[in-house]
Amino acid sequence: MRVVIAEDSVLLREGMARLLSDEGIEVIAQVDNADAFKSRVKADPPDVSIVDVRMPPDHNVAGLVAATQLRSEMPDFRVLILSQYVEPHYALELLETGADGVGYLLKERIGTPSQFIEKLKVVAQGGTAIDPDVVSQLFGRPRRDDPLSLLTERERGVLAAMAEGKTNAAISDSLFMSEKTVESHVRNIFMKLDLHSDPDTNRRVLAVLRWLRQ
Amino acid sequence: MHWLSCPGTIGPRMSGRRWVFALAVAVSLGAFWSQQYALNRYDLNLPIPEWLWVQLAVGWAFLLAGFASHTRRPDSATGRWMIALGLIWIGRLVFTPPLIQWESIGLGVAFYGLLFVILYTFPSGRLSGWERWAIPIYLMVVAVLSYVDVALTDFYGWVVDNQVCCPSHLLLIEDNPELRNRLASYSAVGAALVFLAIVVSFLARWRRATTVGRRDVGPLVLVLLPLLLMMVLIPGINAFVDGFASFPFPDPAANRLTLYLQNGALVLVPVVIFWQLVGTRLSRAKVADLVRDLSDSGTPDELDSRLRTTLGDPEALLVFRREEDGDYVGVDGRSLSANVFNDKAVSPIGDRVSIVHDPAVDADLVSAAGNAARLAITNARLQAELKAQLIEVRESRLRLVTATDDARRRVERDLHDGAQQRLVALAATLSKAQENETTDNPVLRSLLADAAGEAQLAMEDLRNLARGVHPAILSQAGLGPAIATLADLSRIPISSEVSAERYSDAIEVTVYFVIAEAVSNANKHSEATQIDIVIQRRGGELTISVEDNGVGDADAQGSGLRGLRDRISALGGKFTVDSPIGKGTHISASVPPDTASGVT
Repeated sequence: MRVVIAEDSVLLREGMARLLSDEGIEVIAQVDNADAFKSRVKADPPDVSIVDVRMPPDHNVAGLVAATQLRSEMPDFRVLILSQYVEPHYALELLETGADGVGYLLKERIGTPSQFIEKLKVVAQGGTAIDPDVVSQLFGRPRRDDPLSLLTERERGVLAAMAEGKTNAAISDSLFMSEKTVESHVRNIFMKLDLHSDPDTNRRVLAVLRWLRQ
Repeated sequence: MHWLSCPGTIGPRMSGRRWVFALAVAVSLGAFWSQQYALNRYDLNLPIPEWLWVQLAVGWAFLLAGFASHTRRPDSATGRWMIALGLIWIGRLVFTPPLIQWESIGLGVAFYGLLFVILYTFPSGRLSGWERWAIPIYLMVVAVLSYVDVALTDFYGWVVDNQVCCPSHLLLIEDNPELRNRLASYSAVGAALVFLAIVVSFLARWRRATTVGRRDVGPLVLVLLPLLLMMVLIPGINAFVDGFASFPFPDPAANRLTLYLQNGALVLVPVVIFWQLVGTRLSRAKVADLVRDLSDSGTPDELDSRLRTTLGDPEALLVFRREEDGDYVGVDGRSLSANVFNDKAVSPIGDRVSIVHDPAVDADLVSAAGNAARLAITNARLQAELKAQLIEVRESRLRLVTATDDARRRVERDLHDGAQQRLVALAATLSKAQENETTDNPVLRSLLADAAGEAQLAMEDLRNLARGVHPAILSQAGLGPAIATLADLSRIPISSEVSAERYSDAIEVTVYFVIAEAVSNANKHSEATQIDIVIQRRGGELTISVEDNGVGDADAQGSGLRGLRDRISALGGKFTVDSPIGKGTHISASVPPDTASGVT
């Protein structure tokens, strides 16, 4: 797997690069600003990129902007956004460009390298990875006549896992239930929340996140 | 007459004027006497001719206008020129036909020369540069030509019953029409050239003149054109057209028409100058109006516009020199750009107060208006200083608020870029340590796990702290997304309607903190089940409304809400809290979006 890292903090950039090479992942380039990142990716597309949301030149959301631009220009561009912020807005903005091969994780996930690398691989393979903190913030959003209260504890767990971008297989692994059970939970959830069911796991993420944010 | 009793001209100048006046009366009587003498000498049984009356009237028009101008504008030589002109005009009537042709003794030339000088130099009456030698030379040349003209011609006698009645005039050398006509053709060409030069120089002067200056010169230009036509072109045509040369015309009606046309054109000059004086007089009436208007209402903001009306200068301006720094400020307290003084005159009218005006505006009028308005101006100056201070205070308050916002933004960035990165690196290291821990020491293992957990908690705390200091998403994505996240974190459901428009940093931060504080208050105290947030642009204003359905009774004087009020008013906005017991709390605010700089 070939990776480009775009991160302006030397500490984290080098740390991540070491982490990845320890796991046998090839870091083909490290850049510290959005412009260099764009040209580097266009010159030699990696399997997946890790991009800091905030970067030079504007120290604003240049990383996110560059990532969404590249996604519209290059259909196979896969990117894991690293963010300081628990902001569903950014995750949604990213997902609007298509849900396959994108991730939005808090930077602190680097602190648990094994999970971080696992998510990176999901994204590299075209899956979706949304930070659990982002999902749980959305779950915590107060709602009038909260429809989430119609869900059972189990169903809420499945919904959260869907929001994180997990496939049915991944959900069945993490929640210790059969895929058949997961499927029936998913059906129930969609019915109870009045959501249009979508067989595509990645598009499902967007639908669920949008529902949670409305 | 009233010009003699005008204020400001007393003492010796007065007696000088009286002598000149007496002289003019004597010369007028002399003209009558001379005329009567001529009539008697040639035994003509005729009344004093009509033209004498008409020409005396023209002369006196110049005299009266001259006296009045001299009184009104002692700084200008125009008045003295006109008095001299009137005297010459009346004086030449003493040398009346058929005794001596008046043109012949040069008085006529002096008259037209002076007339030209008056028009050309109005309103200052002064010659400058090349004019000092070019104009006298021109006049001398014309005088010589005029003398030659008369000395070679014998048809200027009186016509009675279609007969030249009287002997040749006293200056006749030889009646030589051929020579005379040749000379006349040359001088006609010269006259046409001079006429062109005068027109060109007037147009140049018109182009250079300011608005107010043009108002002075404009009517004179209008007068000058028919006058030059009458006086320069007609003699020119005279020289070429045979029929014209037989003046006086055989037809008495044509003579009469010519008499009135020529003298009418002439009399226009003092009339117009007098009209300009009356204009100034009207301005004086406007000064009286100014006094009345100012004592009626006296709002300083209207001072400028009233002053402009009074002075007839659309760009006139009152300026005050600020005590603290010597800078000039306007009536409204604003600092003035340096270019308001460009090409303007500055007339001080009191302590640190000046009127900036067009240099062509009458100086007496400016000082009269200044005197009249002094009280209101002093008042206006105080108000202007107060206003300037208020603006200064507002601006400094806004600067403080903005500086605080900037500092918070920097702190937020530093937390994320510094402490957070290090904590992340620390957590990663701890995690590696856990993986590599092979000693099978349960204490060490649990210590490492605790440390990793603490690091996670520290990162979470740090994130929340940074968000509280300044929500990065606000500057990155605007009010909508920032408030959506507020709604995620609230305990009470929030429905919000936020326009996607972006505003200045100062406005967005202020609006955000007002809403965050209101939401936080509602979460803590209101027991509400619903919060409605609306941010919209209404008219020119950005309006904010946060309403809950809780218990109400919020303390508008409490430190939280007072802080919000301060923030909003730093932007020049309004802030109200409506919180009746049991009926919820409604906080509303409005900010003028175009006053992000804080100046209202």
